[in-house]
Amino acid sequence: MIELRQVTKTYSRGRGDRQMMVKAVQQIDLKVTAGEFLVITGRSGCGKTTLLNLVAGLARPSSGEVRVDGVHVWTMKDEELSALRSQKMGFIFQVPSLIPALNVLDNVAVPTLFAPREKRQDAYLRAERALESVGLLDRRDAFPRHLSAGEEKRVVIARALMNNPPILLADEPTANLDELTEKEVMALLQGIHGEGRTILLVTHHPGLIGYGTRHLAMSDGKFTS
Amino acid sequence: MTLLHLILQGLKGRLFRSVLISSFVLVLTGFLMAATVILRGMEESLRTGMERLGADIIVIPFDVTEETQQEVLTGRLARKDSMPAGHLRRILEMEAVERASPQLYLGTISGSPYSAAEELYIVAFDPQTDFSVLPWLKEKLVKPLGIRDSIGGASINRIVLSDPILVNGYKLNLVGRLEPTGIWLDQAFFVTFETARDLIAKKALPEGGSADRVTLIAVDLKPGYDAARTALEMVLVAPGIWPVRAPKMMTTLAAQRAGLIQSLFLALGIIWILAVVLTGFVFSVIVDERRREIGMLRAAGAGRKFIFRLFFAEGALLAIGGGFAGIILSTFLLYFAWPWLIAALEIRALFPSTAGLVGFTIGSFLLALVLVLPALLYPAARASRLDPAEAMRGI
Repeated sequence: MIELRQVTKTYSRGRGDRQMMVKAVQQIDLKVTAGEFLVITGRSGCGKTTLLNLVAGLARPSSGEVRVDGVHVWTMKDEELSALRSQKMGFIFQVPSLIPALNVLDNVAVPTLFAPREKRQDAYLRAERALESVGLLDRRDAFPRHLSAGEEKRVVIARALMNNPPILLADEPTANLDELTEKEVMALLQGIHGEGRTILLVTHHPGLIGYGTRHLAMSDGKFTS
Repeated sequence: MTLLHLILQGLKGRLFRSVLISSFVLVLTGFLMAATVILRGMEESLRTGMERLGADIIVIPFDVTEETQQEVLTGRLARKDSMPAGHLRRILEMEAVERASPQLYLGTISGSPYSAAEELYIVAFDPQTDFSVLPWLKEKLVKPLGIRDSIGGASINRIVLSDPILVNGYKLNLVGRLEPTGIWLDQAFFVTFETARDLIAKKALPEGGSADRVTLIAVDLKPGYDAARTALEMVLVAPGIWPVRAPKMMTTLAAQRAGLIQSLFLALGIIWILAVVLTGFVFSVIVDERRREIGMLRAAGAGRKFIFRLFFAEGALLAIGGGFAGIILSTFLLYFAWPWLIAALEIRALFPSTAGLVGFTIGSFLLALVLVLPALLYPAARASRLDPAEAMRGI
């Protein structure tokens, strides 16, 4: 389903004489099969988020190939790659990512803007269902500033599921959450996995390893186990 | 969920900023529209004045300065700058002269209730020979001008026809009105020399004076006669005069005013350009503020074209809304406050015709679109080219 072949991602930092190249991800090979719940752990700055961005086609690898369902994503045009993200991937960000000017229902419905026409017609009905699935239907008219961190994370999960993608990419989904909310969010993700979706989760928190079907550890841009 | 809904909700959600940006565009386009109309009005006034004043030569007293010569067109000839009325007869006797008509400045009324203009002039003219005042009449006079009758310039608009005008207790009847000229005629009451004598006899003019003198003589030449040569001959037959060839006088005045108008148009152009740059800058800042949103939308499946459309349409809505409101507001303001505006700015300008005003409104709006919309292209293009991963990281 997802395949990375010898993928390296290098960033340049600084300017002029102080410019230096940083290898965020180094020659990584990875295969994720359909229905897997892969948990990748590692310390902050080890390249986890970059890896997730590479899988999502949000960052272009410096070398190597990223394939989703056998297609080398960087041979696609921008529209094709966007369509791939829209239809096959849901993204849960580490940072708050709701649009402050939109209420919860509108925020959840946003991905339908990029979905095929037939999926746009009942957008709000599906958004309500998605909110119901994360237990936040009663907060549909609230604005992001009125949500707790846990509620916001659940809204983001609902949004990620809007276009019914087979792959869910989660970047530190439990960051800044208390223990109880963390368990609620992870239970949600387990439920989503139980529906047959593939989940790729990156975290610095070793306590989440047990939720996955496979675990990889990362350090300095490489897998260590 | 549609792009328009996303844009409108976004604008509503950032109401303060949206109102602020729209207000900025409103004030800017309103100001630019008003300035353009006023400048065009000044230009039009100059052109109309040149076309319709009608005289080939304006004869004024010799001992006046060049500045005073220019004031033949702009009014305010002082009483001391008059000449004997006998000059008129001598000039009329010249072979080259087709017709000549005298005018006499009688006095200035300050702060009158009849007009928004600060000063109004009382001028005597000869309706029998006149060819530079009566052609401006709005409607033909019902009967010839008699004693105590007067004709008012276009800026004397706070009084209805047939109502009396009081000049130091002397009652004048307003029996006619002139079309706007954009020159000093707009601020003048014209009376006959007979009325002038009566005004002086009744001591209604504080400075007194004599109706046997004239301030200027407008002269029209027969076809084929050279104005420069005739002007020289005039000095010989009527010593103490200064004949100014109308084209020369107009050219000097036109050059001065045209220079000023051109400078103002240049300044206006620079303001337009600055406005465009500033609009581009404001929207660039907005793009920077919303990097996270861009990153999220890209991750959710938005293509570059969608991000471009989102930012371009959002900016265009604010700019078009603000620009349209500014231009409409400015049009209303100009329409209702024109006399006060012109008086306050101490300029001479003609208000455009209804068709002209509609043209200005549409033209200014289109110009605003042509100039502002390209300014939105850069920030929108920048937003669409942002690397999504970088956008999310840099939040």
